[in-house]
Amino acid sequence: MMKTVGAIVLGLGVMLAASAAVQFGESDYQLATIAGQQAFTEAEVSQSAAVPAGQRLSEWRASHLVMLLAGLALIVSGAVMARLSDARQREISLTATGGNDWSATLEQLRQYADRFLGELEQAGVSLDEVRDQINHVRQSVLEPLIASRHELEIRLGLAAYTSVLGPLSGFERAFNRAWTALADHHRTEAVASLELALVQLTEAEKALKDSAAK
Amino acid sequence: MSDIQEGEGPYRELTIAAAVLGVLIGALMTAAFVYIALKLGFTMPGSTVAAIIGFAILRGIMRRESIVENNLNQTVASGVNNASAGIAFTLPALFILGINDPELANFNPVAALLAAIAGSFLGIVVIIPLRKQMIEFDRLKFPSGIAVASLLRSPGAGERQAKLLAGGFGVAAVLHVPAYFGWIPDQLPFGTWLGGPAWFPVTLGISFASIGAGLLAGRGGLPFVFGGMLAWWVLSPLAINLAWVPDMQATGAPSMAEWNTWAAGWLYSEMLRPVGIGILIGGALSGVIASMPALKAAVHSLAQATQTEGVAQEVSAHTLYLGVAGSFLVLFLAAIFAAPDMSLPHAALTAVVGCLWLALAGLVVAQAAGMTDISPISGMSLIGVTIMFFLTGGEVATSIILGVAVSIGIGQCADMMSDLKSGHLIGATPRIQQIAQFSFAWLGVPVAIGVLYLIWNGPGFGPGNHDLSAPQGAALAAVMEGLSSGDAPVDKYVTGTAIGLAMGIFPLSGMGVLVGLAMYLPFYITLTYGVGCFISIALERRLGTTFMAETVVPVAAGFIIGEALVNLTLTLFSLGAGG
Repeated sequence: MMKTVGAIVLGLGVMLAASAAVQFGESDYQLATIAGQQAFTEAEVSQSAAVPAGQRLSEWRASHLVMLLAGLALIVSGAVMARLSDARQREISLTATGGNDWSATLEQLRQYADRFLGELEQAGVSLDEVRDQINHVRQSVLEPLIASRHELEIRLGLAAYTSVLGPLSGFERAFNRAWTALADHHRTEAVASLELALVQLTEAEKALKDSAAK
Repeated sequence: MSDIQEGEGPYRELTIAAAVLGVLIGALMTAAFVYIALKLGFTMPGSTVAAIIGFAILRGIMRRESIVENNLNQTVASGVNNASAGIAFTLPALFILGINDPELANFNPVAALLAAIAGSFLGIVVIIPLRKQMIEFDRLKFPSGIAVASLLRSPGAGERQAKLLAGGFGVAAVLHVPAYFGWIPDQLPFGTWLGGPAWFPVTLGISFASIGAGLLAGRGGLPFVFGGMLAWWVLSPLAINLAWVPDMQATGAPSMAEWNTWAAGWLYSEMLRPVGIGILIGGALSGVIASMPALKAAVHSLAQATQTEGVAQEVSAHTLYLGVAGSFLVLFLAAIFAAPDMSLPHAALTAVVGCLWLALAGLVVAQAAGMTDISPISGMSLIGVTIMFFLTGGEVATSIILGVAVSIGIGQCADMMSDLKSGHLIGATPRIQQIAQFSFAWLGVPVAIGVLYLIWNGPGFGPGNHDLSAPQGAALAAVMEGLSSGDAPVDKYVTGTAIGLAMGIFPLSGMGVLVGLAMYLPFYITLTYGVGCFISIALERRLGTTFMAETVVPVAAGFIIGEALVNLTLTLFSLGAGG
């Protein structure tokens, strides 16, 4: 609720500040009139009608600076309200038990990757079937986990978030590569990719554990 | 066991075939796109076109079965082609201004070549840490990157997804052909049809690529749409009704309708667009400040990765530092060649500011492309040239030549980031993609400059040339003339930057960039994109994320790819037919 109010205040501020920014100083208005007259009546206007930028700036400051400052104040106020709301949400999430259990999901991903590796080592396995299973895990487990990444950022802070998400993205890329290799019926590359994915996953798990311990 | 034969030997990634074919496709695209840009004033989305052509040749004709190799081929081709827009939008201004000023006509082409190559390298260097931050940490969408990945993955994605991709392609193609030839309107001005004035536009474009980009962006694209609404549905009526624009009588307009159209055009070009550019810059600056810990983490992880991984996935942090130093040196040399009278410290300062602006502008366009698929390259190039103009004390030739570097570099950032997104989705190795970019992207520069000289010495180009009017170059030449006479909207850039900076405090990454971009672009683009966003939000709420991934993504990818390919084909067809 407070974030919504903050967004509305920010919107009003942008409106006010942008109104000041786009408004003409007197000389700009004059130039606009000349441009209009040129467009409609093809009137000849000398170049001397142009007012130097410095002079235009000072004219504008005199007439619209207060409006701009008021708008900026509203933007900052709205943004601070939204930030406070986020901080409160963070406090709530730190004490709550709900949300995505990241370590359990990472463990689940490890089990899947191990299972696919095991299947690929069997001679009679259908590569297309493993590929489809990888796709299923990607859509049903990995993507929802990554979609909930902001929970992690709120809970652990930005530094810990990047330390987990970096290797997790590496896992995701290697997992994607395993799918791609299987689509191309290249078993060896799929195995190598899944092995790399597991290395990256271990790093992500370690980073998550370290961050949680701090 | 699958009855299809298994692949043997190492999995193909950056191969000679991918590199050679990529350079050839890229060089052809560069030549064609320079010509198109001189003729029409715009080019095509290089990444998407390169992917389609490469996919058809490598997979279709050469029967090479490696999706990752396809991605590398497309990365090389689009990297080479990137020079086309950067050069065709900026350098012609110097030729045009040289018609009336022999001193400008004798500019040093070596300086232009060096500046362009420096820009090409610096663009690639900038994206090394940005890749990690934008693709892995911020998870920006890069709709064209998703579209290309969908195309590359289509051989293994199953019949249903292939059909959806083809269906999206077909719908976009079928609707784009009559719109292109003017058989049906390319815009639907609902506001005008209902009797509304031109300064309160309610217009949708016939562009399934825009709708597709909105479908892929979803909720994340909303600040962009709201920014457009603020500009055109709030600020524009305020400006008209509070008489910030001269009225009909003062301008001598013969009718209200004509005045309305003129006022809308004036509002856009003189009020909203410059403020929008300012907000974009402010939003990016605040983004840099807010992202500093993530950027630092990205650089740190580059150093870490080099030390720990057996097979390096990222280029090393040393490459990043060396790349920055090398690009600075080349830009410094370009400044000296372009203005032999310039003192060495002055040239060094110019090169430092050029590098810094390129990095900031590169971040702006990459972020804008990541969120909306639209890159404000011309606006950022314009500011780059303006900065160079003031920095060089009004040296027109030097500012345009260094502006070429900025233009190419920031284009490289947007285009390459999209390729890296595709690479992430199919599992390409970022280090190999970046090595390919470093090795081949600069080759587009001599091709583009060569084609430019060839045309200049042949049929010529510029405002007086009926066939090749070089609209972007002519516009930049007009801006340079305006700058020389002291007519630059500095006030609007500065205030816009302050607004963008303040918006950066809000806890939503890229908000200033999105709102600024919406003010910078014509509203029909924003609104059409918004339709895609709203459809996406409704579908996700009703049918869930699996439906989005399995159905909406391939259809949206088909929209983007379909429009890009049909547009290119029809443009080349029209030019070939002398249109």
